[in-house]
Order: sequence, then C-alpha cells, then structure tokens
Amino acid sequence: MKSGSNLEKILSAGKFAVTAELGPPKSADAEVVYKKADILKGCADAVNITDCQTAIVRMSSIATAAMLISKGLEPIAQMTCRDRNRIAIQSDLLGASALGVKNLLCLTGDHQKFGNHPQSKNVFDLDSIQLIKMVKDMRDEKVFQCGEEIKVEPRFFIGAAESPFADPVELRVLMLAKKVTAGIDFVQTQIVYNVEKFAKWMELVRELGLDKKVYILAGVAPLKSVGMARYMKNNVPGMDVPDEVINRMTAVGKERAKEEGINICVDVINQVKEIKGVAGVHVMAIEWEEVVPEIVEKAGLLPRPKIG
Amino acid sequence: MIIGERKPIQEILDMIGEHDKILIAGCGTCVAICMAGGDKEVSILASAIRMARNREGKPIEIQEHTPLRQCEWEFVDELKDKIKVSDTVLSMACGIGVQTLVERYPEAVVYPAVNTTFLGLPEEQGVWSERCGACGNCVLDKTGGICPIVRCSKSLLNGPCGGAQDGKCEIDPEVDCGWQLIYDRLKVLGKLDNLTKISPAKDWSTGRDGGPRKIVREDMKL
Amino acid sequence: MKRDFEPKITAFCCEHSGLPSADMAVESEFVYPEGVNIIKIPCSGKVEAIHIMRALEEGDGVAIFACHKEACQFLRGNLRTEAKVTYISKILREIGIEKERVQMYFLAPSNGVKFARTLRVFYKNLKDLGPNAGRKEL
Repeated sequence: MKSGSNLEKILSAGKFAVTAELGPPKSADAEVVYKKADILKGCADAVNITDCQTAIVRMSSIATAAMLISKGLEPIAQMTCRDRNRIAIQSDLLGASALGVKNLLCLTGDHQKFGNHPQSKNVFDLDSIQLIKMVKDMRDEKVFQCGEEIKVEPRFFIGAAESPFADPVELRVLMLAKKVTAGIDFVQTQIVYNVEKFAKWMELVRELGLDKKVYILAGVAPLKSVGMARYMKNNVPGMDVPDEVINRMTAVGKERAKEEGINICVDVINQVKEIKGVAGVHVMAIEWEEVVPEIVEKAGLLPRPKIG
Repeated sequence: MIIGERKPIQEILDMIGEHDKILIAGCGTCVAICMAGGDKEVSILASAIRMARNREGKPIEIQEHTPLRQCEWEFVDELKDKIKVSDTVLSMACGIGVQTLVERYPEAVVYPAVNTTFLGLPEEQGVWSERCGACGNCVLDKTGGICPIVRCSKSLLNGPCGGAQDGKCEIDPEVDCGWQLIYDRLKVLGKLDNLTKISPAKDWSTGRDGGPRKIVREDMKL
Repeated sequence: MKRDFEPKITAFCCEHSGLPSADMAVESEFVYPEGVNIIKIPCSGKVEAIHIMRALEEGDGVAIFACHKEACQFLRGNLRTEAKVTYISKILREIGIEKERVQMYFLAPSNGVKFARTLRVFYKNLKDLGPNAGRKEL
C-alpha cells in the first residue's frame, strides 16, 4: 500500500470507487463542514476538499480535511500551485500527513483573476507535474524537493485532475501520460456530459496503457437548471455540454429541472461505468452536496464496500 | 525592448505638487519606440501639465530634454544643466532611467511619469506585447522559441493547464494559450517529443527571486 | 464680460478638402469668424497630437478639417487623425479641459458653405464654453 487510504484499498481491490466533493465555507464556521460531512458520510469512499476553488478564499483544505477525519470520513486534500511555493507546500503536506490525511489531489489551480482577490500575486513556483513529482519523491524516496532526507515521510495516495475536453485536445492525453510518469496513482476527470467524446479519450488512454498504470475516475455532476447547463457549455473552460443534455433539461421545464439533472447524472454514471478502464466516479455537487446520496443510490452504488 | 505606458496625468500632477519649475526627461530608446516616453510624449505631457496648471492658476515652467538613452551615464550627463535649475525631474524613461538619474544626480528629486510594464515587442503599430520575463535561465530551446514563463498565465513548464479553450487562455479570450502556441510550434518543428519530457522544478534563483542581480565581466572592466 | 470674449481658433485644413473649402468660403463671401488661424497641411494625417495640444495651449479651440472618411488622398490619414483626436480627448478629460474644444470635421473639397457654417457653430460653442482655462496667460 502506498498510503493505505480507504480509496486506495477500494481501488486496488478492483471495486468501482465513488468519490465526492465538499466545498469548505467562506467563513470560519465549522458547523457548515460538519453538516456537509453528515450528508456525505457513507456514500463516498473519499471526499475531495477543494483548495480555494476558483481562487476564492475559503477554509483551508487541510484543516477541513482534518475535521472530516474527526467525523469518520476520508478526505482527499487538494493542493494547488497558485498560492504556495515549494517550501509552503511541503510544510503543509507534512502537517496534513501528521493529521491523518492520506489522499492528495495535485492541481495547477485556477488563476486568481477569477477569484475575490484578483490583485493578488500568484506563485506557481511549481506546476502540477512538478508538484506530483515532489509529493511522490517525498513518499517513495523520502526526500524533500531539495534532496534532503525526510525522517518520517508523508505518505499520500496521489491524484491529479485531467480535462479530456480542454484544448489542445491532442495534448490532453499526453498531459495525463506525463502526470502518470511524474507519479500519480489516480486521476479524476473534468465533469463528463459528453460521454461519446469521453469514451474516445478513454480509447487513447487505453492505447497508451495508462488505465493499467493509474485508476481513472470519471467526473460527474448534476445540473440544476438549463441556465447552469448553458453557462457550463459556454463559460467553463474544458467543459463540453452536448445539445442533447441541454434539450433534456429544457424539455422537462423549470419545476422538474433538478430532478432531470440528477437523472442525467445517474445516466452518465451508468454509461461511463461500462467504459473499459474507468475505475470509479467522482461526483461533484458543490453547494448541492445533499443530492449526492440520492445520485449514488440511484446509480446502484450503495452501500459502499468496506475493506480491511 | 522595454515597454512602458504613461501614468495617469493626475497621478503625475500629484507628484509635482506645488513645484513650478520642472524638467521632463524623456528617453530616446525603448520608451520612444513604444511611444510612452520619447521626445514627442515629453512634449505632449509638458503641454498637458502646463494647461492643467494654468487651469489651477498655478503656471509652471517646464524644460524638456530627451537624451538618446536614460540608462547610461554618458547620455544622462547632458541633462546636468537643466537638472540644476529644476525643482523636480519627471522621468519618462523606464524604471531604469529613473534610477540612473537618481544615482547620477543624488541631489535631484526624480519622479516616474511612466509605468514600466514589460519586456516585449511591437506586434504591429500601436500594439505591444510581452515576450520575456528575464528569468535568467532561458528555456526557449525546449519550447520551440516561445516563452512559457510569460506566454502562459501560470508560467507552467510542463504543458497547459486545463483552462484553455479554442487556443485561448482561461484568463482572457483575447490572450493566446502559451502552451497552444508552443504545441503548434513544436509540431511544425517535428519536436513534439519535447512535450513528453518532464521539466523539473525550475531554479528561480537566477530571476528576481534570487535577489538583485548583477553581472561582472572582468575581461571587460577598465 | 463673457460677451467680450472672442474665442481664438486654430483650424488645421487638409489641402485636399479643408483648404479649398476655406478658399471658396472667402471667395464666395460666406461669413465665418474673423481671426481663425488657418494652417495648411498636406493631409489631416500630418497633424500630430502635440500640434493640437500646442494650438490649444495658445487658444480656445482647435478644428481639423479633413476629407471624408473614404476619400483620404493618403487612404487612412484622416482616420489616424480621428484616433489622435480621441487620444487628445482623454488627455483633456484628465486635466479638466473641455474635450469639445478639439473638433474634427469631414468635408468635401469645395464645401465652402459647410466650412463657414461649421466654424460659426464651433465659434458659438466656444463662446458658450468661455475661455480655455488651460490657455497660456497673455
């Protein structure tokens, strides 16, 4: 075992994994975290805790992760390259490991231009691939990025995000291959609505044998409304929302939009489950965490298996 | 070249304060080419300041002079007499020019009238864009001659983030994705292989992060 | 007091349109304000920002008479000057001088009527605005 996390155990046992996502509050309110944790408990093998997503200041991912552990959930801490240099990242990772965090998702990070502090200075001392390499070397070589030895090393099950739909498309699989070489154990993809396009990407992934080297979790998310579907289609980079999905959302009308959004999400899960090389799903329902149990239930993925 | 942009006139007027005898010193090199601080821009700013001060009923006397370069001792020496009779010097050079004046004329009060924005080139008349981050450790050999440090909004060294769409950067649909440009270029060069190699964590100490930089060439010293 | 104010105007006239129109206005005795300082230029595109600024520093208003937009003898000289006038407007706004003091007019080569009428209107507008506060003290 690399980290011995529940997620690692589930995946290495060949079970179809389910991860969810929890957005920490824009405040110091612990209750918000505990409430969301209660909702997600039992319906995901591990829960991603975003790291100031879209560059908006929120409660620290690692602190929130520690709070989840105290409630009996397994967190996947997220770490972006935007806000910390290699000194700060390594320091935080030592702390995260000491607090019992066993999964880490390594990300580039959204540009601060989108957030609530667009005038801030960004860091990007490392990029996500260099971050992955550093975290792997800390675990497997027991060294800091500078080469100095670590007496007690932080052990993480290392993840990355990948965007099958972003440009340049030819480069996307190559980027995944690079992340694999750098040392990831699992990957969570950008939200899939266009299953056909995702399946094609998976074909390329299989051609390179990447599905044998890392666990691939397909990202899914319930749509709340037609407006949200359109917004994602037009404004979110690396997002592909086919017209068919928009039509489905339109057809049911406003009252039943949420219900249809959940149905679409379940359909996508059922479809990606059949694609060879897909090891699990990552359900993203930020600020709508309460629908995750329903989605996982409807997709026939409950109860979650218990291993060791 | 160094690209600059004139500061807002009100900000410049605030710097001048109550002084009524100033010198506006331009620079005939980079900032003249990017139309921020050459002799023409010096004249326009002088005219604007005079009108602004006339309007306030506080006329001002302005001398103008634009040496060929404001970043070399021998050229700024020609400003000597004019600086002597001025209360304040407004430099329309880049930040280097301002500091050259400060060092050469420690008794003078020198203010910047131009914001030094980046190292770049005129893409076409009236359009300038950034090309170099002066990181002190050039990687252009690996990236097909396109700089990931300044052409990528996140200075990524191992390829694009997931934010590019239609070849444009996530921060602005007007901005090209630097890694799309690199990819296209490497494709043409038949060097897409470069992209599969992991570029290790960069040594930023050769850049600003390493502290003020200096180069000494013993063979060139007099 | 205001009644005594005689706006001082500089008119940059392109020799392909503004100037022949000015000549025609004189020949045909179309009335336009006295004392307008007419400056002949080979193309409105030859007017630089600094020329406009300096003329304004010494007067109350600057008019540029250029060929119609598609009719520039040098293809885009008039369009470039139009962009310069926009640039000057921004500077004037920054220093609190009315941007209406700098105007660009497009006209045909022999439109003495328009030339004279335009200047009369411009003169009246300047008279309403009052003296240029940024003008050099005489």
